[in-house]
Amino acid sequence: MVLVLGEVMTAALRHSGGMPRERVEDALGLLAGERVRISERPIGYAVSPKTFTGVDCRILARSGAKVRGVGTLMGRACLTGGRVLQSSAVARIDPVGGGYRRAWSHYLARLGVVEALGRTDLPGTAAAHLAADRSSSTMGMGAFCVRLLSEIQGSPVLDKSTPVRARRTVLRWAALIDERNEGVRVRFAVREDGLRTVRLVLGPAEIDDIVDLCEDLALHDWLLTALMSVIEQSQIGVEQPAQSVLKLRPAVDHLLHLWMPAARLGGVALSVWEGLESRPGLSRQWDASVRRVRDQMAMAAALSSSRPPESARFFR
Amino acid sequence: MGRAMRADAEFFETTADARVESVPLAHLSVELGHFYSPDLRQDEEFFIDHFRRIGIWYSAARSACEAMVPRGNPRISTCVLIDDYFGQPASPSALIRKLRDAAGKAGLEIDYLVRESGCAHTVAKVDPDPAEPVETAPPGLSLAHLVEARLVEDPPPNSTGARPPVGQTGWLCNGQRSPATETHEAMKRPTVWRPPAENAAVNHSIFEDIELWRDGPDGRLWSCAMLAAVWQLLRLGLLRDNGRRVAAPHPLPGDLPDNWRALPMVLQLNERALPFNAYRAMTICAPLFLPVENAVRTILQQVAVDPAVLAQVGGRARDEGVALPLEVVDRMEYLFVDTGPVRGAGPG
Repeated sequence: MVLVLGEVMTAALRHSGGMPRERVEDALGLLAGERVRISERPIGYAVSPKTFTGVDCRILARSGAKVRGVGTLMGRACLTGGRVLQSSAVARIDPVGGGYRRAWSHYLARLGVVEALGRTDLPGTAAAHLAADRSSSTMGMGAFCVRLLSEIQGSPVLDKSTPVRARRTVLRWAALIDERNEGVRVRFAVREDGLRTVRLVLGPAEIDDIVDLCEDLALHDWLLTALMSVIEQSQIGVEQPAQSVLKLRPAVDHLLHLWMPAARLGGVALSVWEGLESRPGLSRQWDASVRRVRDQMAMAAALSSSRPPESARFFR
Repeated sequence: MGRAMRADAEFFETTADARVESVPLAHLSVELGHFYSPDLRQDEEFFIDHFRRIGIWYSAARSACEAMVPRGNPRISTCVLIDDYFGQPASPSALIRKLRDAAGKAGLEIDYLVRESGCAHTVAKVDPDPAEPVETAPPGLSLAHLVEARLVEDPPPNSTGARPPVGQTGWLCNGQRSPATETHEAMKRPTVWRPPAENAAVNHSIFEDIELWRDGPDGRLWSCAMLAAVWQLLRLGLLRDNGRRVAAPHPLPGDLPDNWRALPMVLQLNERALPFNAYRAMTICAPLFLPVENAVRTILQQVAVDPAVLAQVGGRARDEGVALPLEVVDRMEYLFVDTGPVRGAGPG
């Protein structure tokens, strides 16, 4: 069995205009001499080179026991549609016998792996990772994500103004990979403190594919959260339709076209999305919200074109 | 989700691809000398003596490599490194002739001659892409910058991902420093001394603190240890710039300029030479260089080489039946021997 832990932070890029290719490369170039990978189809997407940071710290297992973990966390950032910025911290947990730390070169030959020195209960470690407080993420993954996100948001190529007001969200995930597993089981939860958690149990899979999938889930969860927040701020039914529409406009300009679950992804991601759509129905909620925005738009348009302004008051 | 997304068609975009260029590889690269200005000024006799002494151990390194390589047909190349960074050696034509003649008289052949400042200065693109206009090409980075970007520091115990990368001081260590011991102004009494600690100590610590660079009025001056670390990674074929190979060897031009900087970093002196880059690197040098090489090892233990490059080189070794250590530091070997009255870098 293999355990992979991760955390994804999602936010709106602090930039008002479009992002031409060179600017994206400047902003996401976290590592000198390494390419930012960019693709345009089926959606604008750019991903930074992988960066690593060393850790030597306690890892909590559900039983309350702690083991020492030594190794590196992988970090990266990606930008979707030139608008949504995400940073990820990821590590595979490899239990090893013997309780001593090796020379550092040993760990740099296994980038993205944290060796757990001593007896380690992998499902317990996964549970403890998902259950920990929002502020105390495993091995400081949250702080690593914040650091990556801040580094990019502080890039001089960005104008620091955000067209869509939306909260930053955090999705914490754990994937248990076992050769004997057939198919994939997924549990997506939104906790009271706002933290999103995803627990995956699946068969053989590439870690990069799992990271892609979790970032995709976090992206769409953030889009939905952002859209609902825009709708809430627009005070539909309280404000004049024309006023509401003004406040809804950023969603139309910057969010609506970004909804494309699993657009760039393959096998595992597709089945996870199918599984998620059958129960919580993220897309159903999205579609309903989008319809609500469009209805407001249509109503405002109808009101402004078919009636002189003074008679509009009649409907107040 | 939309039905169209379930179709079997896939998009392939080459820009989203993270491939790395491959380089020709010998089995072993043997360094026959690392010469600084005080030594480069010596006459031919000095170099003949140097290469005669090195030659004995070169044969030993050759035999060891033959025994390791399947079917006993090893690819070995030799190189010398000259310092044109801290000092200014004599003109290329005079120096190259002197070194070649001396090696020949001692029964050795220098395949490649390398300029150390090539590790520190921005390297011009060797083969500019004709599709890419020169003026819009990104400014190149020095090899030292490329290596510095890949440093992943050895974390002391109780470090999490919250620990910011130090990287601002120009110093790299293998543990935890002893806290500063000056009198604390507010308290007017000295803080208690605490020892430094090596992170991976075996019972007792051997703590090292290495200066990588110093920024001065004339810009950044890289340390000898940092440049030597870059040099070792280059020999091992593990450096890339945006996936492209760096510092490819160039044949010696017919007309040699007076200025070393006008020459490519890696000069191929021997037409029949086997590849410059190699799976393993053997350095034969005087014990005088041991502290620098120890620092090189400490630096390289904290350089995270691109996993794609490591996998590529590892895969090629496997295909040839060559055993290759997973950790980069284990690919470097040394013979510290008496190479004559060598002066090294000197105090300047």
